[in-house]
Amino acid sequence: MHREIVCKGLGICLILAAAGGAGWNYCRQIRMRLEQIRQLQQLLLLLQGEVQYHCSTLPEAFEHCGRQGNGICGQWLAETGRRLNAMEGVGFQELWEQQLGELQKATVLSSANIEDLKRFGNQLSYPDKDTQLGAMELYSQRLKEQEERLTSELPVKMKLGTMLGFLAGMFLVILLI
Amino acid sequence: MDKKQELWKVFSLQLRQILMKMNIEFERLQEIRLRVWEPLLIIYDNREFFVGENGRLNTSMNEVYIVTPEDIRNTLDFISQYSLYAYEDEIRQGFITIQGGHRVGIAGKVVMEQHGIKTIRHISFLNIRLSHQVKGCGTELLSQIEDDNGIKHTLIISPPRCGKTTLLRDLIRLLSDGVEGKAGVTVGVVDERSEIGACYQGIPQNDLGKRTDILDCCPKAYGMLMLIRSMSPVVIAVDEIGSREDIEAIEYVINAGCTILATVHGNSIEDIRNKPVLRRLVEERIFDRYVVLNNKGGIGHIERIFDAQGNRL
Repeated sequence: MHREIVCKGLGICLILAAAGGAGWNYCRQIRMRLEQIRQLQQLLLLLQGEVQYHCSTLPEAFEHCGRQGNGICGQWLAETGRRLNAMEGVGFQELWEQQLGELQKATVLSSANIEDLKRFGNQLSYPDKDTQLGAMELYSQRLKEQEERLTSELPVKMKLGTMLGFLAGMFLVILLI
Repeated sequence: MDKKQELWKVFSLQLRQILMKMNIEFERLQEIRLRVWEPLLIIYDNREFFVGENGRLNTSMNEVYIVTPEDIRNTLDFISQYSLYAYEDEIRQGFITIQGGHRVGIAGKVVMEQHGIKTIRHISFLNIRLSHQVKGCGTELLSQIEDDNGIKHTLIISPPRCGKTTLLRDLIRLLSDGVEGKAGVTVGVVDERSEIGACYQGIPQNDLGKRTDILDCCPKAYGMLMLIRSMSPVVIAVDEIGSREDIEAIEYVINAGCTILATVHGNSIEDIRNKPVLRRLVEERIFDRYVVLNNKGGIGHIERIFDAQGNRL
């Protein structure tokens, strides 16, 4: 009898810990997504500078900004620049999409974020600098909107994530008991 | 990566495979011409050849490879490194210089704006002119343009594809490094089209000597003045002079005590005399030496050398 209670108690603790952990992981992912969107914003700012003042080509600008920028997004951009520089024989769009696949695997960016990046890639390689900078400005605004939305939603989502995790655990415990 | 591989990688995959199959001496390859729905053409050893899908060179239209719009589009992507906007000014001038110093001429539909050409759209014709550094080709000429009093102001006159840039490049190298016991001098190069030094990401791909400073992609007239103010050169070298601003800058260079080495398009001194802007150079005896080139005895063949008065030496 005593042993059964101990086992049940342990089970309850484990369920609550797992559910709480899932909630905590959800919150962590949202925080990381916000951080990665901020990384993209920083990279875009650097890219705009490279194009506007140095008139760098995309591979050159990607490598340079990627090395200057922090985090996983910076590494990704630098790698994209390296592959473009290598002139592997594939077109820009194809290579960009291949690289987006890699980015999706390595980050917690949402499908919508990746779709935006894909659209941004389609808009690169304009024949004149003004249109090129215009496309970057447009994507920069889009990133700003996403960042503002996520920042405003963050406290609520964090609370919700933690609470829901815990409550889901409780619900399971009640169901199982 | 060797020069050959470096060049092939700017072509579309299909063209790359064909060009790689060609059994040629790379040093003798002069031009590769791409025109939409026309045969792939090369100028090799001063002769024109059609290229077949198997890389075989033909003088007739049998088994030739026909260039597709996709070939041109992909090649242009690689040439511009997917960044046409970065070559806006070059496109306006009608050419892009690529790694290795090769010049890619472009033609298509020209879009005009108020003050001149805005851009070229629907680019359908590409001409890749290869740059080859021929070390030592200027040695013979050096003795004619240099004496105990120093180096003489020299103008190299030549039609296209006769090697004036190659000769100028070697003269720069020889003057900069010094030859036969003569010490080298500081040489400033204004490389408006990146053809002399072939700078790639700021580093010259051609050997221009130990004492050479290069202003890459800089308009000649501005560059010559900038070099005098900033790098105190003994010799200033520029390629393909022609505008009124160039001539004024050359006069400034000479008045500043520097020696000028320059090249110009033309067949003879008469040609220069007949050009309204350049006539002054000859009439006012600004240059001490005029070197006329042709390609009759191979590229860079010196036809004649004249002194300031126009007397043949």
